[in-house]
Amino acid sequence: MLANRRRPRFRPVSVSFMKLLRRALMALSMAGMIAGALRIRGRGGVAPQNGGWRELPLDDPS
Amino acid sequence: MTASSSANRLVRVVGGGAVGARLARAVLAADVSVELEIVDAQPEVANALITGLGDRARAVGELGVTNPEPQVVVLARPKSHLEIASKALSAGIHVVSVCDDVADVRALLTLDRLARRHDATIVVGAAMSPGLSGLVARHLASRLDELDEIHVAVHGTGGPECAIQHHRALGGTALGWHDRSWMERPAGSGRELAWFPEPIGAKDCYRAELVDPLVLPRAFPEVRRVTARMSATRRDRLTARLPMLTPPHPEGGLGGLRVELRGQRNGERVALVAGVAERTAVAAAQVAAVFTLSLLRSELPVGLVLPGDVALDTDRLLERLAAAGVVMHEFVGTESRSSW
Repeated sequence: MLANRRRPRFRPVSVSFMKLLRRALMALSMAGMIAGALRIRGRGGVAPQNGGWRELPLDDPS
Repeated sequence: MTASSSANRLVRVVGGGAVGARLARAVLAADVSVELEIVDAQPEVANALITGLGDRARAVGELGVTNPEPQVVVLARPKSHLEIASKALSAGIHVVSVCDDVADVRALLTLDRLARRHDATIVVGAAMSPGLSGLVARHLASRLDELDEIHVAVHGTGGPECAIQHHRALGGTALGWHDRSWMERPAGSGRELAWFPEPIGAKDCYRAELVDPLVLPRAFPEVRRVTARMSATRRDRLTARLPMLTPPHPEGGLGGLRVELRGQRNGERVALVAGVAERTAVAAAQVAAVFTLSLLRSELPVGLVLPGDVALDTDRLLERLAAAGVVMHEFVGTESRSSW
């Protein structure tokens, strides 16, 4: 009997919601790729392990 | 041959921004016989500035050269220095340019012949970078038998116009001097971690449209490589090609300069690093003031003068900067780790 058939537990989401979700995922992945490219390109320096800054002597050319 | 001396001690400062204001104070404080004229595109800015400078400063409304003619014109506005510089040099007036725009500096470099013809001097790039970078490089170069490379890194900005120029520089085309030929790379590329004097410390620096690679090979004809980078955040780089999203600060805060020289000494390859941590506008203004006062004292040669020129008494200029509070530091104790 059709009247006694139980309703489905999950209703299908709308097309517009799926479009929005796809766009959001696309934007997130593009942001990740750009951030990754910015992060990866270039070389990181190595922190000086010893030494330091001192006032530049102007009268000592050695 | 040096620039001719004169009893006239009038200096005209064009631009009353963060650099121009400090420059005016520095020149007045250093020499009690100097009088100043302040010119700004916004007359209210010039008027506001002279109220704190005493009776030796006055505001004038025109950008052109008028009577009485000043002995030195200091161009401390952001761009478009060529026209005023040409007029001043044609009238035999010395010029100090604080310009950091590549196109403008390239045009100013052509004024050497005009300056010589009128027995005048034009100092191009008398700021922090260019300017102090060249002076520090010349000082370090005196410790080397042979100079190969100069690498400059800058951090921070001066006033709002400097911040706009910083923004523009990250969106332009970066110049480099590589094996004695020009190299162009997109600005914002080539990340390097540069270590500035404390308290600035380590900053990520990127290629940018900076003036140093344009002027340093002229001041150091023997150098094979010159690079210049500026510190930037990821947001700076992402938005570099867009209009500025937030208005610039009236004062940029603490800035830094790092100059690294590589070359030969006693048959060994060495790298020397020196720099400064100072408010960018203060450092730029003091450099311009030191060159202005040198012109008033007839200590500079006629024609085009670039900071770092071998003809200059660089150590004396640096000593005056140190006396004015711009203290340079050098990194000692380990070799450079930069991969430039």
